[in-house]
Amino acid sequence: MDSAGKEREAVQLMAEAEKRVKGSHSFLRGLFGGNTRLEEACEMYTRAANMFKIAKNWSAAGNAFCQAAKLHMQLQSKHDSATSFVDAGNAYKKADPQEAINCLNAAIDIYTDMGRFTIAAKHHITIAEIYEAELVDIEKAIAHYEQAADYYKGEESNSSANKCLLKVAAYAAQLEQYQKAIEIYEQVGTNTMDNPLLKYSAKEYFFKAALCHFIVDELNAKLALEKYEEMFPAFTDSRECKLLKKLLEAHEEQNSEAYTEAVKEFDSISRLDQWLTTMLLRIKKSIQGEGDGDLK
Amino acid sequence: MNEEIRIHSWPCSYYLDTNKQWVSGRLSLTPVAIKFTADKTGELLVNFHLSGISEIKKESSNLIFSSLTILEKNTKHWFSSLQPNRNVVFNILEHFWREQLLSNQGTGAEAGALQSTKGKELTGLLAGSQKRLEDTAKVLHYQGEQFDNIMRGLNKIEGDMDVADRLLTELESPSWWPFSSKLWKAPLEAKPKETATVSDSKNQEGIIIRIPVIITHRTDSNVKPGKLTLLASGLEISDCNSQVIHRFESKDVDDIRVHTPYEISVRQRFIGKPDTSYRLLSAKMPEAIPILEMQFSKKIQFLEDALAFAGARKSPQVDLGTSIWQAATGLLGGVMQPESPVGGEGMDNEQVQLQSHEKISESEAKELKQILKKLKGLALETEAELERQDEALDSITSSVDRATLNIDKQNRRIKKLT
Repeated sequence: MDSAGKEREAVQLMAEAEKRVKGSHSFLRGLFGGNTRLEEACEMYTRAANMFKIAKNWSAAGNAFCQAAKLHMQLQSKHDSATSFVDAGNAYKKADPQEAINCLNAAIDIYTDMGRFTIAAKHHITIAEIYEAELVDIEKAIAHYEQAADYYKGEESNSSANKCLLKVAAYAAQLEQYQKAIEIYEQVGTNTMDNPLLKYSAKEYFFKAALCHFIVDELNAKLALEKYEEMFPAFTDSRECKLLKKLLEAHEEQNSEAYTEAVKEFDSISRLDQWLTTMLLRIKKSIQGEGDGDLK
Repeated sequence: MNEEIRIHSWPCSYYLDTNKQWVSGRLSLTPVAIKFTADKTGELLVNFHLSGISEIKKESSNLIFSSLTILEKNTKHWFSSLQPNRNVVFNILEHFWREQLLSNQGTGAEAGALQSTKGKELTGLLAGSQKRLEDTAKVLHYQGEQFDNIMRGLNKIEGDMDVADRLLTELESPSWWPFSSKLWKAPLEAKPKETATVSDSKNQEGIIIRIPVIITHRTDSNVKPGKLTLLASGLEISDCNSQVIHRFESKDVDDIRVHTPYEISVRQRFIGKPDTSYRLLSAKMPEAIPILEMQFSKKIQFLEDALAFAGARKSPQVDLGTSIWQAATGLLGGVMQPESPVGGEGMDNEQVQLQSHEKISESEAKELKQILKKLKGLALETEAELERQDEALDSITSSVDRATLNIDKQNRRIKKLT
């Protein structure tokens, strides 16, 4: 009941705001106090948007925020405009993902213009998440994550940049763009290797890079493994490295049972996550593909 | 293996991307594949190999329906209104998917081998805690970076506040006063300027460093040689005859830009007047910059070319830090070393004891030891990082307090002015 009332009120406010905007266009008004009228309209749009939010009419709320943002732009207050665009994006996210992305992109443009790259990067991540979850366009999600990583790097926030890059790598590997994934994992691995706090996770990145190598070509994986051990001696001791060696051996002998046994042993100690399962399955398939292929 | 055997099937609905609608039907699972048949038409809409799956996720469509998504290559399949319940289906699907990787053709044989020993269990536990600690370390590091960013922002705010403070003082001096605030103060300054020869000032205030420089005043292209003297209370620019051209008190300096390691510009801003700014070029500048940086840490600004220099200068410090750290860990290691045989013995004892109860093999013990070592290292690192962050937080708090106070004060002053 209440929400319906709010919605009606919001619609009225919208109409009122529109009138104000039109009023400010007339010549005389334009000369005297046109801006204050625009400011009033802005405020009304925002209030209307908030009421739409209460009424859960997301796309109307998004639209109202958008209008407010455009008016802020006319009033030359960039920061307010960007904030309104972000609000619009958040409202649209629940109803119209594509429109949400447009709004967030507009906000990003403003933020980059102002040199606020950290915030821009954050919104790039939001967009990437929308692509990931709602629109299932992984390629575009990757592009946005990459952009975010670039901005973060420019602002010296390396660990945020790494976080984005790792996402990119995971998706790239899923899409079978192994070369890209390898490059990122190696880069992140070498970056974190020297940090006292992060060096313990470096082995994970090298492990993933080596796995990607493995899918492409066994020999490369061997070479890569040697290289990583040389670069990062602690890698040799890790369970990941031992597993890789066992897997390589099994693969060389085309012994899918030994392969499975090794994987199983690893899994019994620390459960494999979905990404690893996918990658290991792909390697296993390549063994069976050459073998009898009785799982086909 | 009979591929036709249905392990399980669930009534559910499937999202048809081409028609943009949900179709109800049955989702069925065979040992190797997942299939979906529509109820009405009996059509087989989905049929793919289990090993083609790259991700199974619980998601919600439009934030309302809880559904299950399966990512196969590049297509995402949406299943919703699963019965009896989404989690059941998820668990079963994931289980069979993983079984694709883990199962062997020669089943049954390794059932005995699968019996996990106590040692393995322990290793599993430790590996799990190591993983968690690694994640924690990652988050901590990220947090530390954010604190650093905050500090940088606060420093900038403080620098700007100083400028605002000075400008306000200027505005506050009554406008009918024939002399500008600068001149007002000038007599005080002029005296030492006239009388104080260089040698005098040398005695009076501690000269930190004096270097020969080439001076450019404002934008004119008139370049002349001179000297830059860094004093404890400010900086002085004099020409080659030791005649003082300009003297900046510490608080008068609004910003210092470091263009290259050898070139800086010093600037004082005025309202309604062009800024006083000097551009100084000197081969000895690298010596002076660290001092400037110390004195005017909040006002100094490194431009692009100089950044590399600043970074280069910083790195030895970092090296120093790490070397100290390494020495410390070496020490720690040394301290640990005498312990470790004891620990080892203890472990051996324990092992013997344990062996009588359950079996921990030698290799397992070794692995356990290794993980424990890593855990300890991680814990130490985490502690160090936490301490660092604690300090950072303290200075952030005090800095924020100062900034708030300053803002309050300035607000009051501005109100008085209007």
